Amino acid sequence: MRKVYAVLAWLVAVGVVAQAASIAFAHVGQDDYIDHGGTVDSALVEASKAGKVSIVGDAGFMVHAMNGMMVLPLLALLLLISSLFVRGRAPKLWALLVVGLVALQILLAFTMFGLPYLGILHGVNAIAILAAAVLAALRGARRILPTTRDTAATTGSERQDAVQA
Amino acid sequence: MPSRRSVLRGFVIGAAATAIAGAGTVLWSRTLLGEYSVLSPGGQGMGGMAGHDGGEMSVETLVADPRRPADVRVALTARSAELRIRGGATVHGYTVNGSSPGPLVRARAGQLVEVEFGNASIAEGATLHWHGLEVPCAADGVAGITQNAVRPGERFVYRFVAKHPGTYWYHSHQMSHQQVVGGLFGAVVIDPATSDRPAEEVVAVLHVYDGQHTLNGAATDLRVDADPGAAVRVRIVNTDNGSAPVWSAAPFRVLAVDGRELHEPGEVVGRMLVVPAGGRADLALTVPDAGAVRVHTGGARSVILGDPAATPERAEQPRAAVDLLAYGTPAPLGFDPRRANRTFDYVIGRSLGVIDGRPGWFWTINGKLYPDVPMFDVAEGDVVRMRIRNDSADPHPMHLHGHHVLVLSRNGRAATGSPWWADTLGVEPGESYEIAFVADNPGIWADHCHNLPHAVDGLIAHLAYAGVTTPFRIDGPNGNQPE
Repeated sequence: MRKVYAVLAWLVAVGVVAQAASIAFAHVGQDDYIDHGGTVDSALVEASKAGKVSIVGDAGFMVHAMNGMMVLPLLALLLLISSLFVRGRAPKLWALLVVGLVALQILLAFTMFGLPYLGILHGVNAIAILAAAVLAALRGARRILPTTRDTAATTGSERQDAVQA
Repeated sequence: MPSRRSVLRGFVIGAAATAIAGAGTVLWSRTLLGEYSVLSPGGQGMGGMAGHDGGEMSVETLVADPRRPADVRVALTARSAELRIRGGATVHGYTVNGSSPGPLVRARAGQLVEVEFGNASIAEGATLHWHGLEVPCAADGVAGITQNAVRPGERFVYRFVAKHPGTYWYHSHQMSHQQVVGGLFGAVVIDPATSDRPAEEVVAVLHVYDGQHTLNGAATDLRVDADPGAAVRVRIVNTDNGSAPVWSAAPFRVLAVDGRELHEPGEVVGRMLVVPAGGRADLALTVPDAGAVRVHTGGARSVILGDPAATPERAEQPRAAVDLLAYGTPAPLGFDPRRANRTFDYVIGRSLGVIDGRPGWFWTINGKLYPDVPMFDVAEGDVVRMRIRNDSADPHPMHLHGHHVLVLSRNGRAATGSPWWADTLGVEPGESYEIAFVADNPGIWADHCHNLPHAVDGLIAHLAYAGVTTPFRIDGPNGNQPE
């Protein structure tokens, strides 16, 4: 389970990287569209959200929305669930932090369009999620040093798990 | 050899996973709607359901006088087709009588309009909804509520008396999020019963076809050859899913909104008018003595009035919008909103959930996901007040079928201008509107967001008159999918 936990944590980290990449792609594509005479207004944005526009970069908005609102929260929750089966407090705390930050990120995504300055926090919080996910993968998934009491109960297969993770 | 402890742990994990998967499947399957009536979606008790206290009347019986001959007859045929956008690229979409927008339907107030609608080739079926017109419910054109979707080769006749002069439009209300975006719509203009139509006027239908901004189906500015000094009425129809800002360097007046004249509209200078998705606005401009005047309609295109050789410069978009709450001067309302005997809340939010087996982020109404949304039960003659609040982060152009609503206040600030009647009210994030209307058109009427993908994602409720029922069903063999 330690391995599953570590894989999920790395997947969250990769997901955050995908978020940065997709939104950058989306905006560069949109800028290119505008530079070539295209107009972006409410009508175009809504048509684009409905998938009825083929502008390079539009897929970036779609990926950012789907990944951010569906895939990442799901991965974060799975990370939290898997942490319940990993011994020690650290994995649970790291997973809880990831879930909390992802929840904050979605909350920001839903409120920042009325309060544009919150967009800054959305960007900063993304880095926080990345850091928390990487630390969860590195530290949360690290096998805690067996104490005298634990040694007897720790099995060989678990040691192998930890090494592989 | 695994230890007893790891075997036990494996067993616990397996049991937990099975339990979660099982519970998830049960919860998921409970969201499946199957074939259903909008009066009892999901077969759930909606509380205070209409139509079970004695006489029942099918929406099919709510028609214009069948003995009265039609004054205006129109035949409209919809097709699935390649659309050649003038000045742009060809896209796959829909036509009405071979073009998109379809032909303008024009009548005088008081005339009976009869439209014979045919579906030539749209596999999923199609209908025509008369957006903003107070038609009898049988002619409302909503698949699965007022009729079955018209299958390929079939026909359906819409009959209604055009009541109020103004600018309206028609569009499909079967798979509307696809068919309207794809071009299955056209404009409707109702002229006053007696007076002559305005000497100079132009209808400007805004639509984005696959990223191409168009006016009346052409990806170019719309030029109107008009004499110097002429007063021109510009009828703007926003058929898109987003708001359309309208502005000009020249002063203009907003003569009408959603087919209702405004009382003593003042001159607008340095402000834009925001026309919500599905909404209409009639503007008056005066052609200058020399050259032409440009009216920006959305970000990309303009209507240019005057000397066809002149090209007026683009005007910077004003940051401030006309506030219709304080535009024009008061006038008699025709009813007393304080005597309301029904009050409803329509609070829009957003939540993670599952609708019809489809997981996602969906719109909520009064905190609940479709189909657990309110049914607005009314009786004929009721005076209804409704508070619409947008707790989400997106604007929602709220459209009530079959009625016009009077705007009483926004964010607690009372209306002080001309009576503002709307059929499509743009509600911005954080805004709260109080509206009122008289329940004077029996039927079952959709009350939904006209950013049409939002309606697909649960932002739809219904106004149901006591005693009115519908034999039509969503889904099922007729494949009715109104949104």
